[in-house]
Amino acid sequence: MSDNSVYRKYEREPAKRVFAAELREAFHHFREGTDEKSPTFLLLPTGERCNRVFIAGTLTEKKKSEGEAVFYQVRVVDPTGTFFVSAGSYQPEALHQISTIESPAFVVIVGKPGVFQSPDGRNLVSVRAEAITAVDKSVVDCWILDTARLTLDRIEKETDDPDHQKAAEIYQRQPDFWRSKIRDALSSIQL
Amino acid sequence: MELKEIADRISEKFSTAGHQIDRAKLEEKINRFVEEFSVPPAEAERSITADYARQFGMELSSSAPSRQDADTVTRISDIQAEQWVTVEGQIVTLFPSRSPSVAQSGVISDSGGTMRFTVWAKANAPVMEQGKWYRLESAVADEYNGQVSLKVHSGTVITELSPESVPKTEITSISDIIPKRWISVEGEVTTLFTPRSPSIAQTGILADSSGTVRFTVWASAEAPLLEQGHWYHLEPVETDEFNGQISIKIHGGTKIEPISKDEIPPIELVSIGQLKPGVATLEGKVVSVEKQYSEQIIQRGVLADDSGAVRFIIRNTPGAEPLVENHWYSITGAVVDRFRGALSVQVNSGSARILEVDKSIRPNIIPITQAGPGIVCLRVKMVQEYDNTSDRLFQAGLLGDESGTIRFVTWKDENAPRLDPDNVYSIYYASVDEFNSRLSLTLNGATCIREENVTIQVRTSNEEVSGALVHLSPGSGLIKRCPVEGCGRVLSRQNYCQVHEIQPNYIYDLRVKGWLDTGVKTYDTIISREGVEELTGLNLISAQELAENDPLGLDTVFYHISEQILGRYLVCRGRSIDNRFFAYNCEFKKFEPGLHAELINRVEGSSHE
Repeated sequence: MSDNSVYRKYEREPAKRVFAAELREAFHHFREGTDEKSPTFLLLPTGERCNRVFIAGTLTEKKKSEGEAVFYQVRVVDPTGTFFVSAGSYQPEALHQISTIESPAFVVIVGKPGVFQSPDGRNLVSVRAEAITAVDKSVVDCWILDTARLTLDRIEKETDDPDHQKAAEIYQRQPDFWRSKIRDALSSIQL
Repeated sequence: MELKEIADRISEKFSTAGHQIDRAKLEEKINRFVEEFSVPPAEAERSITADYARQFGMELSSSAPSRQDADTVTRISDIQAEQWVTVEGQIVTLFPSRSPSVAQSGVISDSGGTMRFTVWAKANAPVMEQGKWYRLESAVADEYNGQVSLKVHSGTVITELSPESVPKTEITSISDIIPKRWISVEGEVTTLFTPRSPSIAQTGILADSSGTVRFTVWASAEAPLLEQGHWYHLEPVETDEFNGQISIKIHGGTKIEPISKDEIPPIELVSIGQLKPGVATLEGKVVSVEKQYSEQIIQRGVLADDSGAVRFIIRNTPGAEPLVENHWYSITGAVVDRFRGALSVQVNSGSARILEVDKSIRPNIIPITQAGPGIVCLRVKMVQEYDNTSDRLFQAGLLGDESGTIRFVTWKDENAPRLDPDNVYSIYYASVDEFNSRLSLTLNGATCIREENVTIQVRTSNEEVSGALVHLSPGSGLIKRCPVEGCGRVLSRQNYCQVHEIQPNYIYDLRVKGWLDTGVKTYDTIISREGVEELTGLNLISAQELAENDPLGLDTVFYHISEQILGRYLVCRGRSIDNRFFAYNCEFKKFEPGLHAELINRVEGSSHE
């Protein structure tokens, strides 16, 4: 019963708040358990797993696929970098919502992160949107605060949690690196 | 000024290609991105350039190939397209040649990665053998359909590596397997599945003490059949990933060596609380056994130590014998599985040894909110008894402690304990199951002891949850309820109540069903009419008008509400009942300058420590 990670996984996974600078560096993904319906997780460099993220920023570019199936790819920038977001026919709601948003616009997105290999072998993290909404700047600012707070919580957490240890092993980034990103994000808010 | 420079660069880029861009419009666009939407200038330049390129149908050029020094060995995982490289690796697969211009093709692997290679017939290269290590000097990496591969041409020098320079085979722990590699593993075949395709000879689960992995033996491998319950050394196997699930593939080139009982790698003793899927050695006391057995199963029960408890199962295999209640056992090489979130231990025949000890166990009592699928011990108050809805059911109700509440059921059996409302019980070794993403406690087989003179303050008080509404479920918006007194169930589209059938005189109501997410926890939330009114400005009358005057009907109210609250930060007050948060007072969260200042201090403060 001391193995809390087993129990934590039971609850519906929260949508983790993560800045673009951190999400783009994530590449380790894994599945808990061996049965086909077990959720897949992406390990964030600051040491927490996620299978859903809540992100926000400015939609700067929207591309519709030319092929038969409708498919959108959008770029969303936050103060620390760029998110790559997509929606296809399996996300009818998000597809509909994206079609009505024109760049540039402030947006928030709920979606599932995935890691893809670019042709040159680099890892690309892309978020498959479940929902995307055009919002006011104030919502993005609230998100920046929320994400700054939760990212700080992650790096300041003192724990022997296996996810934390694994992330430290795999990503080898010092907490100060993330602090500087959080600082960038916070200072982008003009009062 | 920076924005002017961006405009200069963009218009120059396109004017050299013969496209003129309206300067004023361009500057306005850049300004809008950078000033109004705080997009970094570089990103704005990139986006706007890409946008114009699409308008003019231009392809943007990418970077040029680079040439590398032939002496440096490049790790396969670092190879990029359009590079000249020298690599050292093992030929793990050879494909039959499909064209006379190709002498050989296959897959080469080093410790960090793998890549396909092709040897052109014109290269006149020496023939390479599967399983051997080679150095390929000055091969070319190129890309086709997004896949990088190595080409061996007449300028490439191939030398076989001497045995001493070949890296030693390392056994990879199953939990450390990374996809798209060729590795060696050792483990026990714990499960075999029926192959779904004739191209697959066998498929199942391989386990070691670190974890489990799915394996597939290709029919083309013509490998000897693997047997369940046996250990094997497999070298090399290809690792793969599909939908985030790691698997290993056994090919024609894979050496399969059975590992005898004496050679099985030692498996360290773990405490029950630390168990995870895989093969494990443990010690525990049989604290309960179930009464009902089947032909396939000799015994089910619960094993416990001070750290926790776990279900065990003994299958009816030759030599299998049941364990004796209240005795300690040492169990070697047990197979640990996870099913619906709960762990279970499969005890193989002959693997349990009785221990001549009688240590008493101090059961680890946990708060309800920490309970998850598996075996738990709780101290709780019986809050409420539910009406009995099934012949097989003995009792159902709600239990609570300081942290929260949980449903329980007890099925009819001769030892089923009955709990009395408002009493406090210590419950030992009850099993928690997950059903429809809700937890439920089953008391059959558990020990329930009534505690006198103990009071528990069950947590049902008001809560405030501040989070983002990340999902709006169907059944939100304007809904119809059953008018029968005391019912109030939500009617289906045909005005049908599950209990009272067709109800044409329904009552309208407004609500939101969705997920309110704090980033740490997701609340399955229902916002009542009051809350919806506060957030959206709609009320029952205006919502009905909206629905009646729109061809979408009730759906229009759903979309109207969704547009206003989906993805927004809300502060909701209400109470949690049974894993669900009922909110009746809600508002949009505002930007908090105080929190902003506090976070700036926090980020600066401790970075100098």
